[in-house]
Amino acid sequence: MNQLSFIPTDTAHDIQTNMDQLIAKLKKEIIEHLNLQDVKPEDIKDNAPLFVEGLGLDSIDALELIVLLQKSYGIKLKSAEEGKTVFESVKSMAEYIEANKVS
Amino acid sequence: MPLNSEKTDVLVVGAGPAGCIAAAIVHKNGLKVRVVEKLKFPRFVIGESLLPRVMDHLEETGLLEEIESAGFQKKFGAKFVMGDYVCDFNFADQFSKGWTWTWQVPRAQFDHLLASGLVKKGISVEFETSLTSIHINEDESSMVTVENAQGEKTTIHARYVIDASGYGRALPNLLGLNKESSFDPRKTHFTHFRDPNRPEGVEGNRITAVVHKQNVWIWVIPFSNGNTSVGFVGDPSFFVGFPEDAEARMHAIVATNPFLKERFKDQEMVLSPRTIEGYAISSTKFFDKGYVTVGNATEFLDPIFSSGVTFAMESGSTAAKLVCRKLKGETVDFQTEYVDHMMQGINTFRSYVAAWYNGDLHQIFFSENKTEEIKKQICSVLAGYVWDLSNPFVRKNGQAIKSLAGVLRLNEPAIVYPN
Repeated sequence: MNQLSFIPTDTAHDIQTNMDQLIAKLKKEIIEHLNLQDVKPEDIKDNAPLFVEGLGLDSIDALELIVLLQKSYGIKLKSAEEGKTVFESVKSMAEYIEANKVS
Repeated sequence: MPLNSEKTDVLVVGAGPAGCIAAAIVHKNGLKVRVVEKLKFPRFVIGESLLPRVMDHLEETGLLEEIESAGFQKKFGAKFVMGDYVCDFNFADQFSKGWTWTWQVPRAQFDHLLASGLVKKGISVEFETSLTSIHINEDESSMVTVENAQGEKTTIHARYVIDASGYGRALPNLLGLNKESSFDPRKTHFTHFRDPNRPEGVEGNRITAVVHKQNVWIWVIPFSNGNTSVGFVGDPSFFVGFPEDAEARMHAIVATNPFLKERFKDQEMVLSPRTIEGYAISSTKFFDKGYVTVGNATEFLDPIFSSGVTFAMESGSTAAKLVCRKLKGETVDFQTEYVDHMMQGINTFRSYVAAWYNGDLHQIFFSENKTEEIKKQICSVLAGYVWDLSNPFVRKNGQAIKSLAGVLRLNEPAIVYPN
Protein backbone atom coordinates (compact mmCIF):
# COMPACT_ATOMS: atom_id res chain seq x y z
CA MET A 1 0.00 0.00 0.00
CA ASN A 2 3.08 2.23 0.19
CA GLN A 3 2.74 3.75 -3.27
CA LEU A 4 -0.91 4.50 -2.62
CA SER A 5 -0.26 6.32 0.69
CA PHE A 6 -0.88 9.75 -0.89
CA ILE A 7 -4.43 8.71 -1.79
CA PRO A 8 -7.08 9.00 0.94
CA THR A 9 -7.66 5.52 2.35
CA ASP A 10 -11.32 5.19 1.36
CA THR A 11 -10.51 5.97 -2.34
CA ALA A 12 -7.74 3.37 -2.41
CA HIS A 13 -10.22 0.93 -0.97
CA ASP A 14 -12.76 1.76 -3.73
CA ILE A 15 -10.14 1.20 -6.45
CA GLN A 16 -9.29 -2.14 -4.94
CA THR A 17 -12.98 -3.12 -4.78
CA ASN A 18 -13.53 -2.07 -8.40
CA MET A 19 -10.53 -4.11 -9.46
CA ASP A 20 -11.79 -7.16 -7.57
CA GLN A 21 -15.18 -6.83 -9.19
CA LEU A 22 -13.65 -6.45 -12.64
CA ILE A 23 -11.47 -9.53 -12.10
CA ALA A 24 -14.48 -11.56 -10.97
CA LYS A 25 -16.47 -10.37 -13.99
CA LEU A 26 -13.59 -11.15 -16.37
CA LYS A 27 -13.26 -14.71 -15.07
CA LYS A 28 -16.92 -15.34 -15.84
CA GLU A 29 -16.64 -13.74 -19.27
CA ILE A 30 -13.54 -15.76 -20.18
CA ILE A 31 -15.21 -19.02 -19.22
CA GLU A 32 -18.34 -18.11 -21.15
CA HIS A 33 -16.62 -16.64 -24.24
CA LEU A 34 -14.09 -19.45 -24.62
CA ASN A 35 -16.70 -22.06 -23.73
CA LEU A 36 -14.38 -23.58 -21.10
CA GLN A 37 -16.22 -26.59 -19.81
CA ASP A 38 -15.52 -27.85 -16.28
CA VAL A 39 -13.78 -24.59 -15.33
CA LYS A 40 -15.24 -22.49 -12.49
CA PRO A 41 -14.32 -18.85 -11.75
CA GLU A 42 -12.60 -19.90 -8.50
CA ASP A 43 -10.34 -22.26 -10.53
CA ILE A 44 -8.73 -19.24 -12.19
CA LYS A 45 -6.19 -17.55 -9.90
CA ASP A 46 -5.79 -13.79 -10.34
CA ASN A 47 -2.05 -14.00 -11.06
CA ALA A 48 -1.80 -17.42 -12.66
CA PRO A 49 -0.75 -17.58 -16.34
CA LEU A 50 -3.69 -17.96 -18.72
CA PHE A 51 -1.67 -19.81 -21.33
CA VAL A 52 0.01 -23.20 -21.47
CA GLU A 53 1.12 -24.08 -17.93
CA GLY A 54 -1.67 -22.06 -16.28
CA LEU A 55 -5.22 -22.27 -17.61
CA GLY A 56 -3.89 -23.98 -20.74
CA LEU A 57 -5.25 -21.52 -23.30
CA ASP A 58 -3.75 -21.51 -26.82
CA SER A 59 -3.19 -19.05 -29.65
CA ILE A 60 -6.76 -19.43 -30.92
CA ASP A 61 -8.12 -18.61 -27.45
CA ALA A 62 -5.93 -15.50 -27.53
CA LEU A 63 -7.79 -14.40 -30.66
CA GLU A 64 -11.07 -14.91 -28.84
CA LEU A 65 -9.81 -12.79 -25.91
CA ILE A 66 -9.09 -9.98 -28.37
CA VAL A 67 -12.69 -10.20 -29.58
CA LEU A 68 -13.87 -10.24 -25.94
CA LEU A 69 -11.94 -7.05 -25.09
CA GLN A 70 -13.46 -5.31 -28.10
CA LYS A 71 -17.02 -6.44 -27.58
CA SER A 72 -17.27 -6.01 -23.81
CA TYR A 73 -14.92 -3.08 -23.18
CA GLY A 74 -14.49 -1.34 -26.54
CA ILE A 75 -10.73 -1.95 -26.42
CA LYS A 76 -8.89 -2.69 -29.66
CA LEU A 77 -5.79 -4.83 -29.73
CA LYS A 78 -4.24 -5.15 -33.14
CA SER A 79 -2.78 -8.62 -32.88
CA ALA A 80 -2.14 -11.61 -30.69
CA GLU A 81 1.45 -10.31 -30.35
CA GLU A 82 0.32 -7.13 -28.65
CA GLY A 83 -1.90 -9.23 -26.43
CA LYS A 84 1.00 -11.25 -24.99
CA THR A 85 1.60 -8.98 -22.01
CA VAL A 86 -2.04 -8.04 -21.65
CA PHE A 87 -3.14 -11.67 -21.46
CA GLU A 88 -0.51 -12.84 -18.95
CA SER A 89 -3.12 -13.27 -16.26
CA VAL A 90 -6.65 -12.19 -15.39
CA LYS A 91 -5.10 -9.47 -13.20
CA SER A 92 -3.01 -8.07 -16.05
CA MET A 93 -6.09 -8.07 -18.28
CA ALA A 94 -8.09 -6.19 -15.64
CA GLU A 95 -5.32 -3.62 -15.19
CA TYR A 96 -5.14 -3.07 -18.94
CA ILE A 97 -8.90 -2.62 -19.14
CA GLU A 98 -8.83 -0.10 -16.27
CA ALA A 99 -6.08 1.88 -17.97
CA ASN A 100 -7.63 1.83 -21.47
CA LYS A 101 -11.35 1.56 -21.03
CA VAL A 102 -13.61 3.73 -23.12
CA SER A 103 -16.01 5.39 -20.72
CA MET B 1 -17.99 -71.81 -55.42
CA PRO B 2 -18.48 -71.89 -59.23
CA LEU B 3 -15.79 -73.74 -61.17
CA ASN B 4 -14.70 -70.71 -63.19
CA SER B 5 -14.09 -68.52 -60.14
CA GLU B 6 -10.66 -67.04 -59.50
CA LYS B 7 -9.22 -66.25 -56.10
CA THR B 8 -7.53 -63.18 -54.69
CA ASP B 9 -6.91 -61.83 -51.22
CA VAL B 10 -8.03 -58.29 -52.07
CA LEU B 11 -10.04 -57.01 -55.02
CA VAL B 12 -9.60 -53.30 -55.68
CA VAL B 13 -12.35 -51.67 -57.75
CA GLY B 14 -10.97 -48.66 -59.66
CA ALA B 15 -7.43 -47.76 -60.76
CA GLY B 16 -7.40 -44.05 -59.88
CA PRO B 17 -5.07 -42.67 -57.16
CA ALA B 18 -7.04 -44.23 -54.27
CA GLY B 19 -7.10 -47.67 -55.88
CA CYS B 20 -3.47 -47.56 -57.00
CA ILE B 21 -2.18 -46.60 -53.55
CA ALA B 22 -4.41 -49.22 -51.90
CA ALA B 23 -3.26 -51.96 -54.31
CA ALA B 24 0.41 -51.04 -53.86
CA ILE B 25 0.05 -51.22 -50.06
CA VAL B 26 -1.63 -54.65 -50.20
CA HIS B 27 1.08 -55.90 -52.57
CA LYS B 28 3.79 -54.51 -50.29
CA ASN B 29 2.26 -56.50 -47.43
CA GLY B 30 2.72 -59.72 -49.36
CA LEU B 31 -0.96 -60.36 -50.11
CA LYS B 32 -2.46 -61.08 -53.51
CA VAL B 33 -4.26 -58.10 -55.04
CA ARG B 34 -6.19 -57.66 -58.28
CA VAL B 35 -7.44 -54.36 -59.73
CA VAL B 36 -10.42 -53.92 -62.05
CA GLU B 37 -11.03 -50.57 -63.76
CA LYS B 38 -14.24 -49.74 -65.64
CA LEU B 39 -12.60 -47.37 -68.14
CA LYS B 40 -9.76 -47.56 -70.63
CA PHE B 41 -6.69 -45.52 -69.56
CA PRO B 42 -5.57 -42.84 -70.21
CA ARG B 43 -8.90 -41.16 -69.48
CA PHE B 44 -9.77 -37.58 -68.51
CA VAL B 45 -10.67 -36.76 -64.92
CA ILE B 46 -10.78 -33.48 -62.98
CA GLY B 47 -8.65 -32.83 -59.87
CA GLU B 48 -5.36 -31.66 -61.36
CA SER B 49 -3.69 -30.00 -58.42
CA LEU B 50 -2.00 -32.18 -55.81
CA LEU B 51 -0.96 -31.30 -52.25
CA PRO B 52 2.45 -32.03 -50.66
CA ARG B 53 0.89 -34.68 -48.40
CA VAL B 54 0.42 -36.79 -51.56
CA MET B 55 4.20 -37.16 -51.85
CA ASP B 56 4.33 -39.16 -48.61
CA HIS B 57 1.99 -41.75 -50.13
CA LEU B 58 3.82 -41.89 -53.46
CA GLU B 59 7.09 -42.36 -51.61
CA GLU B 60 5.77 -45.05 -49.28
CA THR B 61 4.41 -47.12 -52.16
CA GLY B 62 7.47 -46.72 -54.35
CA LEU B 63 5.45 -44.93 -57.04
CA LEU B 64 7.25 -41.59 -56.70
CA GLU B 65 9.97 -42.32 -59.28
CA GLU B 66 7.36 -43.43 -61.79
CA ILE B 67 5.81 -39.96 -61.58
CA GLU B 68 9.07 -38.03 -61.28
CA SER B 69 10.20 -39.20 -64.72
CA ALA B 70 7.17 -37.53 -66.37
CA GLY B 71 8.46 -34.00 -65.72
CA PHE B 72 5.17 -32.57 -64.44
CA GLN B 73 4.97 -28.91 -63.47
CA LYS B 74 6.22 -28.55 -59.89
CA LYS B 75 4.01 -26.77 -57.38
CA PHE B 76 5.67 -24.97 -54.45
CA GLY B 77 2.75 -23.14 -52.93
CA ALA B 78 -0.75 -21.75 -53.27
CA LYS B 79 -1.66 -18.32 -54.58
CA PHE B 80 -4.97 -16.51 -54.16
CA VAL B 81 -5.81 -13.37 -56.11
CA MET B 82 -8.70 -10.92 -55.95
CA GLY B 83 -8.37 -7.71 -57.96
CA ASP B 84 -5.21 -6.07 -56.61
CA TYR B 85 -5.06 -8.28 -53.52
CA VAL B 86 -2.60 -11.18 -53.65
CA CYS B 87 -2.05 -13.85 -51.01
CA ASP B 88 0.92 -16.15 -51.40
CA PHE B 89 1.56 -19.34 -49.44
CA ASN B 90 4.90 -21.06 -49.82
CA PHE B 91 4.92 -24.70 -48.68
CA ALA B 92 8.55 -24.34 -47.55
CA ASP B 93 7.23 -22.07 -44.79
CA GLN B 94 4.75 -24.54 -43.39
CA PHE B 95 4.31 -25.27 -39.67
CA SER B 96 4.24 -29.09 -39.89
CA LYS B 97 7.17 -31.25 -40.90
CA GLY B 98 6.52 -32.52 -44.39
CA TRP B 99 7.00 -32.17 -48.12
CA THR B 100 7.38 -28.62 -49.39
CA TRP B 101 6.31 -29.21 -52.98
CA THR B 102 4.23 -31.37 -55.27
CA TRP B 103 2.93 -31.31 -58.86
CA GLN B 104 0.19 -29.93 -61.12
CA VAL B 105 -0.83 -32.78 -63.39
CA PRO B 106 -3.09 -33.59 -66.30
CA ARG B 107 -4.80 -36.49 -64.56
CA ALA B 108 -5.15 -38.67 -67.66
CA GLN B 109 -1.36 -38.99 -67.81
CA PHE B 110 -0.76 -39.00 -64.03
CA ASP B 111 -3.29 -41.75 -63.32
CA HIS B 112 -2.07 -43.79 -66.27
CA LEU B 113 1.49 -43.63 -64.90
CA LEU B 114 0.31 -44.78 -61.45
CA ALA B 115 -1.54 -47.77 -62.93
CA SER B 116 1.49 -48.62 -65.11
CA GLY B 117 3.57 -48.50 -61.94
CA LEU B 118 1.33 -51.21 -60.43
CA VAL B 119 1.70 -53.39 -63.53
CA LYS B 120 5.50 -53.03 -63.27
CA LYS B 121 5.28 -54.35 -59.70
CA GLY B 122 3.51 -57.42 -61.07
CA ILE B 123 0.01 -56.44 -59.96
CA SER B 124 -2.86 -57.46 -62.24
CA VAL B 125 -4.78 -54.41 -63.54
CA GLU B 126 -7.72 -55.13 -65.87
CA PHE B 127 -9.09 -52.14 -67.78
CA GLU B 128 -12.58 -51.80 -69.28
CA THR B 129 -13.76 -54.26 -66.67
CA SER B 130 -16.69 -53.37 -64.43
CA LEU B 131 -18.32 -54.88 -61.42
CA THR B 132 -21.78 -56.27 -62.16
CA SER B 133 -22.71 -57.99 -58.91
CA ILE B 134 -21.43 -58.73 -55.43
CA HIS B 135 -22.46 -61.27 -52.86
CA ILE B 136 -20.85 -60.89 -49.46
CA ASN B 137 -20.52 -64.18 -47.55
CA GLU B 138 -20.83 -64.80 -43.81
CA ASP B 139 -17.04 -65.03 -43.46
CA GLU B 140 -16.74 -61.52 -45.05
CA SER B 141 -15.29 -62.85 -48.31
CA SER B 142 -17.18 -61.95 -51.50
CA MET B 143 -18.21 -63.50 -54.78
CA VAL B 144 -17.83 -60.65 -57.25
CA THR B 145 -18.82 -60.82 -60.90
CA VAL B 146 -16.93 -58.58 -63.32
CA GLU B 147 -17.48 -58.06 -67.03
CA ASN B 148 -14.89 -56.96 -69.58
CA ALA B 149 -15.27 -54.99 -72.86
CA GLN B 150 -15.86 -58.23 -74.80
CA GLY B 151 -18.77 -59.05 -72.51
CA GLU B 152 -16.91 -61.93 -70.85
CA LYS B 153 -17.89 -62.46 -67.26
CA THR B 154 -15.58 -63.71 -64.52
CA THR B 155 -16.42 -64.50 -60.93
CA ILE B 156 -13.78 -63.51 -58.45
CA HIS B 157 -13.63 -64.86 -54.93
CA ALA B 158 -12.07 -62.07 -52.87
CA ARG B 159 -11.32 -62.24 -49.17
CA TYR B 160 -11.88 -58.47 -49.03
CA VAL B 161 -13.05 -55.73 -51.41
CA ILE B 162 -11.68 -52.18 -51.49
CA ASP B 163 -13.98 -49.92 -53.50
CA ALA B 164 -12.02 -47.08 -55.08
CA SER B 165 -14.48 -46.55 -57.92
CA GLY B 166 -14.81 -42.77 -57.45
CA TYR B 167 -17.53 -41.16 -59.57
CA GLY B 168 -18.39 -44.69 -60.79
CA ARG B 169 -19.66 -45.39 -57.26
CA ALA B 170 -19.65 -49.15 -57.85
CA LEU B 171 -20.46 -50.42 -54.35
CA PRO B 172 -22.47 -47.36 -53.22
CA ASN B 173 -24.75 -47.96 -56.25
CA LEU B 174 -24.95 -51.75 -55.88
CA LEU B 175 -25.48 -51.61 -52.11
CA GLY B 176 -27.56 -48.39 -51.98
CA LEU B 177 -25.12 -46.29 -49.94
CA ASN B 178 -25.52 -42.93 -51.74
CA LYS B 179 -26.36 -39.86 -49.71
CA GLU B 180 -26.51 -36.15 -50.57
CA SER B 181 -23.67 -34.06 -49.22
CA SER B 182 -24.54 -31.11 -47.00
CA PHE B 183 -22.79 -28.54 -49.22
CA ASP B 184 -24.71 -26.14 -51.43
CA PRO B 185 -24.70 -27.54 -54.96
CA ARG B 186 -22.14 -25.67 -57.05
CA LYS B 187 -21.55 -25.72 -60.73
CA THR B 188 -18.23 -25.75 -62.51
CA HIS B 189 -17.35 -25.08 -66.15
CA PHE B 190 -13.78 -25.88 -67.17
CA THR B 191 -11.42 -26.58 -70.06
CA HIS B 192 -7.74 -26.88 -71.02
CA PHE B 193 -6.44 -23.89 -73.01
CA ARG B 194 -3.33 -23.61 -75.11
CA ASP B 195 -1.31 -21.02 -73.20
CA PRO B 196 1.24 -19.27 -75.48
CA ASN B 197 0.81 -16.02 -73.51
CA ARG B 198 1.86 -17.62 -70.22
CA PRO B 199 4.06 -15.12 -68.31
CA GLU B 200 7.76 -16.02 -68.35
CA GLY B 201 9.40 -17.57 -65.31
CA VAL B 202 8.12 -18.98 -62.05
CA GLU B 203 5.01 -16.78 -61.75
CA GLY B 204 3.52 -17.95 -65.04
CA ASN B 205 3.71 -21.58 -63.95
CA ARG B 206 2.02 -21.05 -60.60
CA ILE B 207 -1.35 -22.45 -59.73
CA THR B 208 -3.70 -19.60 -58.85
CA ALA B 209 -7.20 -19.33 -57.42
CA VAL B 210 -8.83 -16.09 -58.54
CA VAL B 211 -11.85 -14.64 -56.75
CA HIS B 212 -14.08 -13.60 -59.65
CA LYS B 213 -17.08 -12.46 -57.62
CA GLN B 214 -18.19 -13.04 -54.03
CA ASN B 215 -19.46 -16.55 -54.81
CA VAL B 216 -17.51 -17.40 -57.93
CA TRP B 217 -13.85 -18.32 -58.22
CA ILE B 218 -11.55 -19.55 -60.98
CA TRP B 219 -8.76 -22.10 -60.98
CA VAL B 220 -5.75 -21.54 -63.23
CA ILE B 221 -3.48 -24.60 -63.33
CA PRO B 222 -0.55 -24.41 -65.77
CA PHE B 223 0.82 -27.77 -66.98
CA SER B 224 4.35 -28.51 -68.16
CA ASN B 225 2.96 -29.50 -71.59
CA GLY B 226 2.17 -25.83 -72.36
CA ASN B 227 -1.56 -26.12 -71.72
CA THR B 228 -3.39 -24.61 -68.76
CA SER B 229 -6.51 -25.85 -67.01
CA VAL B 230 -9.05 -23.09 -66.34
CA GLY B 231 -12.28 -23.66 -64.42
CA PHE B 232 -15.06 -21.45 -63.08
CA VAL B 233 -16.80 -22.62 -59.91
CA GLY B 234 -19.84 -21.01 -58.39
CA ASP B 235 -23.53 -20.86 -57.71
CA PRO B 236 -25.48 -22.24 -60.71
CA SER B 237 -27.19 -18.84 -61.11
CA PHE B 238 -23.86 -17.27 -62.15
CA PHE B 239 -23.83 -19.24 -65.42
CA VAL B 240 -27.32 -18.13 -66.47
CA GLY B 241 -27.25 -15.71 -69.40
CA PHE B 242 -23.96 -16.93 -70.91
CA PRO B 243 -24.11 -18.73 -74.30
CA GLU B 244 -25.31 -22.36 -74.29
CA ASP B 245 -22.53 -23.64 -76.56
CA ALA B 246 -19.72 -24.94 -74.33
CA GLU B 247 -16.82 -23.20 -76.11
CA ALA B 248 -18.71 -19.94 -76.68
CA ARG B 249 -19.70 -19.98 -73.03
CA MET B 250 -16.08 -20.43 -71.88
CA HIS B 251 -14.84 -17.60 -74.14
CA ALA B 252 -17.63 -15.32 -72.93
CA ILE B 253 -16.95 -15.97 -69.25
CA VAL B 254 -13.16 -15.61 -69.61
CA ALA B 255 -13.71 -12.22 -71.32
CA THR B 256 -15.37 -10.92 -68.14
CA ASN B 257 -12.31 -11.47 -65.93
CA PRO B 258 -9.45 -8.93 -66.04
CA PHE B 259 -6.91 -11.50 -64.76
CA LEU B 260 -7.69 -14.04 -67.52
CA LYS B 261 -8.88 -11.91 -70.42
CA GLU B 262 -5.55 -11.04 -72.05
CA ARG B 263 -3.93 -14.43 -71.47
CA PHE B 264 -6.73 -16.72 -72.67
CA LYS B 265 -8.83 -14.54 -74.99
CA ASP B 266 -9.44 -16.45 -78.27
CA GLN B 267 -7.01 -19.22 -77.27
CA GLU B 268 -7.71 -22.70 -78.59
CA MET B 269 -9.22 -25.22 -76.19
CA VAL B 270 -7.55 -28.62 -76.34
CA LEU B 271 -10.27 -30.13 -74.18
CA SER B 272 -13.91 -29.57 -75.08
CA PRO B 273 -15.26 -27.56 -72.08
CA ARG B 274 -17.21 -29.59 -69.58
CA THR B 275 -19.75 -28.75 -66.94
CA ILE B 276 -20.23 -30.55 -63.64
CA GLU B 277 -23.15 -29.77 -61.39
CA GLY B 278 -23.93 -30.87 -57.85
CA TYR B 279 -20.76 -32.88 -57.45
CA ALA B 280 -20.76 -33.08 -53.69
CA ILE B 281 -21.98 -36.55 -52.81
CA SER B 282 -21.49 -38.72 -49.76
CA SER B 283 -22.15 -42.25 -48.49
CA THR B 284 -24.17 -43.64 -45.61
CA LYS B 285 -21.42 -46.16 -44.81
CA PHE B 286 -17.68 -46.21 -45.50
CA PHE B 287 -17.23 -49.85 -44.53
CA ASP B 288 -19.18 -52.91 -43.51
CA LYS B 289 -18.65 -56.66 -43.48
CA GLY B 290 -16.15 -57.52 -46.20
CA TYR B 291 -15.64 -54.14 -47.84
CA VAL B 292 -14.34 -50.63 -47.36
CA THR B 293 -14.86 -47.63 -49.66
CA VAL B 294 -12.01 -45.18 -50.32
CA GLY B 295 -11.38 -41.94 -52.27
CA ASN B 296 -14.27 -40.26 -54.04
CA ALA B 297 -16.28 -43.44 -53.60
CA THR B 298 -16.75 -42.12 -50.06
CA GLU B 299 -17.13 -38.38 -50.45
CA PHE B 300 -16.10 -35.55 -52.73
CA LEU B 301 -15.40 -32.09 -51.36
CA ASP B 302 -15.32 -28.77 -53.16
CA PRO B 303 -12.27 -28.31 -55.44
CA ILE B 304 -11.09 -24.99 -53.91
CA PHE B 305 -8.25 -26.45 -51.82
CA SER B 306 -7.29 -29.34 -54.13
CA SER B 307 -7.91 -31.87 -51.39
CA GLY B 308 -9.36 -34.62 -53.63
CA VAL B 309 -6.26 -36.63 -54.57
CA THR B 310 -4.85 -36.19 -51.06
CA PHE B 311 -7.95 -37.76 -49.48
CA ALA B 312 -8.00 -40.43 -52.18
CA MET B 313 -4.45 -41.53 -51.34
CA GLU B 314 -4.75 -41.08 -47.57
CA SER B 315 -7.92 -43.20 -47.51
CA GLY B 316 -6.51 -45.81 -49.91
CA SER B 317 -3.38 -46.18 -47.82
CA THR B 318 -5.09 -46.18 -44.41
CA ALA B 319 -7.84 -48.61 -45.41
CA ALA B 320 -5.49 -51.00 -47.24
CA LYS B 321 -3.21 -51.27 -44.19
CA LEU B 322 -6.20 -52.18 -42.02
CA VAL B 323 -7.44 -54.74 -44.55
CA CYS B 324 -3.99 -56.37 -44.56
CA ARG B 325 -3.90 -56.53 -40.76
CA LYS B 326 -7.38 -58.01 -40.72
CA LEU B 327 -6.54 -60.67 -43.33
CA LYS B 328 -3.47 -61.58 -41.28
CA GLY B 329 -5.74 -62.34 -38.34
CA GLU B 330 -5.65 -59.14 -36.31
CA THR B 331 -8.75 -57.49 -34.93
CA VAL B 332 -9.11 -54.04 -36.47
CA ASP B 333 -11.58 -51.26 -35.80
CA PHE B 334 -12.46 -49.59 -39.12
CA GLN B 335 -14.55 -46.96 -37.35
CA THR B 336 -11.80 -45.48 -35.18
CA GLU B 337 -8.76 -46.37 -37.27
CA TYR B 338 -10.21 -45.52 -40.69
CA VAL B 339 -13.43 -43.46 -40.62
CA ASP B 340 -12.52 -41.28 -37.64
CA HIS B 341 -9.05 -40.68 -39.07
CA MET B 342 -10.47 -39.64 -42.44
CA MET B 343 -13.19 -37.48 -40.88
CA GLN B 344 -10.54 -35.59 -38.90
CA GLY B 345 -8.97 -34.52 -42.21
CA ILE B 346 -12.20 -34.13 -44.17
CA ASN B 347 -13.83 -32.02 -41.45
CA THR B 348 -10.78 -29.76 -41.31
CA PHE B 349 -10.98 -29.09 -45.05
CA ARG B 350 -14.76 -28.87 -44.86
CA SER B 351 -14.51 -25.99 -42.39
CA TYR B 352 -12.01 -24.22 -44.68
CA VAL B 353 -14.31 -24.72 -47.68
CA ALA B 354 -17.21 -23.25 -45.69
CA ALA B 355 -15.01 -20.32 -44.64
CA TRP B 356 -13.98 -19.74 -48.25
CA TYR B 357 -17.60 -19.40 -49.36
CA ASN B 358 -18.77 -17.35 -46.34
CA GLY B 359 -15.93 -14.86 -46.88
CA ASP B 360 -13.95 -15.47 -43.64
CA LEU B 361 -11.00 -16.86 -45.58
CA HIS B 362 -11.03 -13.99 -48.08
CA GLN B 363 -10.80 -11.62 -45.10
CA ILE B 364 -7.87 -13.62 -43.71
CA PHE B 365 -6.00 -14.31 -46.97
CA PHE B 366 -6.16 -10.72 -48.20
CA SER B 367 -5.29 -9.11 -44.86
CA GLU B 368 -1.76 -7.94 -44.13
CA ASN B 369 -2.26 -8.18 -40.39
CA LYS B 370 -1.54 -11.88 -40.01
CA THR B 371 1.41 -13.03 -37.94
CA GLU B 372 4.02 -15.27 -39.56
CA GLU B 373 3.14 -18.06 -37.15
CA ILE B 374 -0.53 -18.02 -38.11
CA LYS B 375 0.37 -17.97 -41.80
CA LYS B 376 2.60 -21.04 -41.33
CA GLN B 377 -0.15 -22.90 -39.55
CA ILE B 378 -2.72 -22.15 -42.28
CA CYS B 379 -0.07 -23.05 -44.88
CA SER B 380 0.19 -26.56 -43.42
CA VAL B 381 -3.55 -27.05 -43.83
CA LEU B 382 -3.23 -25.97 -47.47
CA ALA B 383 -0.34 -28.46 -47.87
CA GLY B 384 -2.67 -31.26 -46.76
CA TYR B 385 -1.10 -31.89 -43.35
CA VAL B 386 -4.52 -31.97 -41.69
CA TRP B 387 -3.68 -34.74 -39.23
CA ASP B 388 -1.09 -32.74 -37.25
CA LEU B 389 -3.03 -31.92 -34.10
CA SER B 390 -0.19 -29.80 -32.74
CA ASN B 391 -1.33 -27.23 -35.33
CA PRO B 392 -4.13 -25.13 -33.74
CA PHE B 393 -5.48 -24.36 -37.22
CA VAL B 394 -6.02 -28.11 -37.61
CA ARG B 395 -7.04 -28.96 -34.05
CA LYS B 396 -9.58 -26.14 -33.78
CA ASN B 397 -10.12 -25.73 -37.52
CA GLY B 398 -13.53 -24.06 -37.77
CA GLN B 399 -13.20 -22.00 -34.61
CA ALA B 400 -9.66 -20.88 -35.42
CA ILE B 401 -10.68 -19.44 -38.79
CA LYS B 402 -13.79 -17.79 -37.34
CA SER B 403 -11.86 -16.23 -34.44
CA LEU B 404 -9.07 -14.96 -36.68
CA ALA B 405 -11.51 -13.48 -39.19
CA GLY B 406 -13.35 -11.88 -36.25
CA VAL B 407 -10.19 -10.20 -34.95
CA LEU B 408 -9.16 -8.98 -38.40
CA ARG B 409 -12.63 -7.50 -38.98
CA LEU B 410 -12.28 -5.45 -35.77
CA ASN B 411 -9.38 -3.57 -37.28
CA GLU B 412 -9.92 -3.63 -41.03
CA PRO B 413 -12.60 -2.64 -43.45
CA ALA B 414 -14.58 -5.55 -44.88
CA ILE B 415 -13.28 -7.09 -48.10
CA VAL B 416 -14.69 -5.43 -51.21
CA TYR B 417 -15.55 -7.95 -53.93
CA PRO B 418 -15.15 -7.31 -57.66
CA ASN B 419 -18.45 -6.59 -59.45
